[in-house]
Amino acid sequence: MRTFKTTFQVLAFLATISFTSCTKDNEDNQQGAFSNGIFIVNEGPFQTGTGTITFYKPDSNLAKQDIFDAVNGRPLGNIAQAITLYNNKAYIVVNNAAKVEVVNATTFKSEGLIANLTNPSQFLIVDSKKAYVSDWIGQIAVVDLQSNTVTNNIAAGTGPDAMLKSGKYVYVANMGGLGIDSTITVIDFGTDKVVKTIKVGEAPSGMVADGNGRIWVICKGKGFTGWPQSGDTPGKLMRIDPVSLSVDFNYSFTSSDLHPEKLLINKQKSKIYFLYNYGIYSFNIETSGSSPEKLVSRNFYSIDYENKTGYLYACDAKDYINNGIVVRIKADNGLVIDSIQAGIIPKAFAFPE
Amino acid sequence: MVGFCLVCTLIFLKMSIRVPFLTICIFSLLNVSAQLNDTVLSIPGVEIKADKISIFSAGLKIEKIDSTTLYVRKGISVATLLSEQSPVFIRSYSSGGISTLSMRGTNSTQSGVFWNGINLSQPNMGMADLSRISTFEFSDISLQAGGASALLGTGALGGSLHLSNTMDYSSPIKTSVFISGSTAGKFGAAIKMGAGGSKIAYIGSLSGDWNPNDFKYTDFNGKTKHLDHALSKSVSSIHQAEYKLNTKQKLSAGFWYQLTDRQIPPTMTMATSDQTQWDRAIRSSLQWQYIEKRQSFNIRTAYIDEKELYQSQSALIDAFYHLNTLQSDFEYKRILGKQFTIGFGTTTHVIRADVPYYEDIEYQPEGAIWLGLAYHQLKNGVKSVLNLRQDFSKGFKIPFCPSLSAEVPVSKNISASLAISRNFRTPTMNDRYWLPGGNPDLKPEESWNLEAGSAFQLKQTEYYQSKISINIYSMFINNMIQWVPGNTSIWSPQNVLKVWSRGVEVASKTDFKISGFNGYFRLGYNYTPSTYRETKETEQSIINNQLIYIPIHKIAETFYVSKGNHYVMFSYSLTGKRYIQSDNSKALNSYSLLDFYIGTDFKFSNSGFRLQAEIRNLMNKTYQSVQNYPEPGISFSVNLLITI
Repeated sequence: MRTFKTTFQVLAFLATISFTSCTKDNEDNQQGAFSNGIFIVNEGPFQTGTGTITFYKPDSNLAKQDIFDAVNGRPLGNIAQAITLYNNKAYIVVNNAAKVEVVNATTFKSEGLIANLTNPSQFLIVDSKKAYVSDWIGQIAVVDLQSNTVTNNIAAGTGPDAMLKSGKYVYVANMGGLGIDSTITVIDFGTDKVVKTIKVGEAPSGMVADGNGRIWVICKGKGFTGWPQSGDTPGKLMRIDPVSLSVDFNYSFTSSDLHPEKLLINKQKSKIYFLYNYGIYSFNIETSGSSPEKLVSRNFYSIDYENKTGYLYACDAKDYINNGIVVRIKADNGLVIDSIQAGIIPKAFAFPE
Repeated sequence: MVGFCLVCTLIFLKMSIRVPFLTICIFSLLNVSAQLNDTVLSIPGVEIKADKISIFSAGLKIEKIDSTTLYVRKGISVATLLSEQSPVFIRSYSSGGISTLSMRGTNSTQSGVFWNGINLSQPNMGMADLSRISTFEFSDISLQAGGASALLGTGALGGSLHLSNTMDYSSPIKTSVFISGSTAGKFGAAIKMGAGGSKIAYIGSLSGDWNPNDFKYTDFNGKTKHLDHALSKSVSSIHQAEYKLNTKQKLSAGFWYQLTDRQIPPTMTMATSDQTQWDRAIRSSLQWQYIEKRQSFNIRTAYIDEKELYQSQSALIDAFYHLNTLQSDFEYKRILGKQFTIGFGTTTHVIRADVPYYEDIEYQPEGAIWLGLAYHQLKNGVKSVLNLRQDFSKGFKIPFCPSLSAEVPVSKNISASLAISRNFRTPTMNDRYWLPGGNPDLKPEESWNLEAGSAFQLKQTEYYQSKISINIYSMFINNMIQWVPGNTSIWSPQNVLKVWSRGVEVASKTDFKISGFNGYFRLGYNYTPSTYRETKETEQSIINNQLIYIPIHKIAETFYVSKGNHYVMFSYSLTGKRYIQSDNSKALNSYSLLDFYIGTDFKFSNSGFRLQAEIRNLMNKTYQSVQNYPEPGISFSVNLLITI
């Protein structure tokens, strides 16, 4: 009898906890459980796993893991790539699952799915009605944001990846996918037509626009850092004039064994940042004749920049099979602020405006 | 936990055999549901065909799949057989995908698979795919648990699986035909023929499977989906012949052709897959034996030619692999006095690997010398064996591997065994030569294995007899290889891990014969904690965590009963949760599977027929052996076996 009573009490206690947690979740959701925080996209393990989303609240310094599964009761899908916030919606690109998940940015509840994609990589809001999705298959999918459907495909180069909207154009970096490419496709987003294909260095991987609307492009060069092979080429930092759509600045890195990637610009539009030589580099774009300077000596898998704080968010994927961390670094001086627990292979971010 | 299991098993064994059939079934299921019990397929004292094992393996735990189980489970893959009938863990990449063996808390490269003593592990991967091997093709399937490098060489850290056919000189021509079909669209057909005379014996088989693996599963949205892009086609043909040159000399030849062509389905987190894999292996061997009363010579050469084509249009992969292995063995054994047998031998391998991800065609010469001393006291049954083995391999210093084991009858019904051994695994060709990342400076993995076992013959009556065995072991693996990212995202294998695997294995079998009902109840349980002891400085938090994809608990139960020509079999397995991250923050749920078989034997026109119906995953459980690889729910199949 006593055992039964104890068991009953334990069960009652557990039920109370469950009820309490449900209630808490509901309250959280109603109040906007995922507002005023940063979303971290974790790729997830490559072969069999799923990507995840970490939600980080800087004011409380709390990180909530795998919020997509927690809210929607299903995994996100294989190899998450990017997240974009727009109009209280979050658009999450999941590469091997060939989809973009559309969720409410406050509750993270699923609100739709963009299908008919092959190997989507990046998502770019073009205007209030449409978005572009770069697809490694060699095209840019035009998405109607009302119906979440692909309405058109624009042919790009091989392995289109990063996209940048500036002026009346969208610039697409054709990184080469599993092959090699060295072009930027320029699309007039008013007509969805390609206006020019610009030749740059091999494997363009990142782009930013400076204060004058000039497009800076980082090109990895041929090869992989840490695996030098004959035939490798050095990376390049280039600049495209938005009027003539031609290259007007070309900086070549010296080593063909090291390959720069990712490109970010600070709020003042005076410095750009990229990953290179097992660290983070900065480059002053206002001073002519300046050269890249090493800001942080630590290898990172990916990096982003938050305008609000001026912090760099640098991803340490650790062993790529367990949870990684995100290190917050002051972009001004390279000082480490703190670190955030993330999921497996943290890769990309969405910051609140 | 283990003690409780034992008590439950003993209680069960002491129950009157007059318990009605249904009660026994229910009892057995309750046992498993409560995760209490233990099994294993053990029949003590079996011989494995690899010659030196039969004499120099006393004290090692060897379990032979019994003939009744093999008869009922004819025509399935060896992976499925072990998964449902044995407490070892099979890592299955979905139905039709590859399946590999994991014994005693080790990974798939640390357990060996042998056909007549020939290593079937692909030298580039260091593992063998058990989903491609059919139980129809073999009359003997045995599992040897624990380190046996002193006998078998590289890879035998956790244990080994042995496949062979018994040659029968006395039988006239005997043919069997097997046809099967399932609701998942699988169709299989096979023929096996054996013939024997005073000087010659032959056994050969030809089997083929066409399996679309078109099963339904529930996706993460709760919707029912069909597995796409999962068609698997396979053909296999094995031939073995022996010819007695005279009373002392014998020539043997073996040949195995194996072809598999399969689509690789997407995981549950992927949209589609266009990956395909084509494998073709030809294995041949020739052996000469000279056997006198007190000594024997054995010379064998084997040649293996393996080709694989892996393609994916979307990933721009079109990779063709070609691997060749030439193996030559020599063995000499001599009986010394009344109690000792001495043996020594040499073995050489040359592996040629033409792999698109290597810089060049790579050659890997390997060799070994072995010395064994076996003591057998016929009067009291004490057996003891000392094995010493030194392997040589290009580019490695392989540790000297001794083993010492003993088997002692404690009383009429109890025997005890003890074994200690040092074991190793050389890095695979991929570990050394893969671009990018291959590391030519790797050291071999090595382990020390200590184990003890005891077997009890319990009460015997004219209605039933029971036996139970318990084995405990402790194994320290050093220099364990793990692919880790370096300063960049380029991964490279390093000798970074130290692992401690230990555990308890309990097995029991009760045979009964009452009122015309014959049958058995078999119960096996493996308790397998296998934890990290040392790793990279930056990953210290994983120390003492369970290795990924190693279930701490695995239970397998089988209940078989026949009356006259009719029989039924239930098999039940429970696989405990498996961590999927070494920080142990995520795990796959445990799962239990119940299968049911019913069949009847009858004669027609001097031929024997067996018609069998099967229900697999009777409880329609949704489960994953490997993360996000769906496995089939309930499925039905029928098969017909004709013996002429």
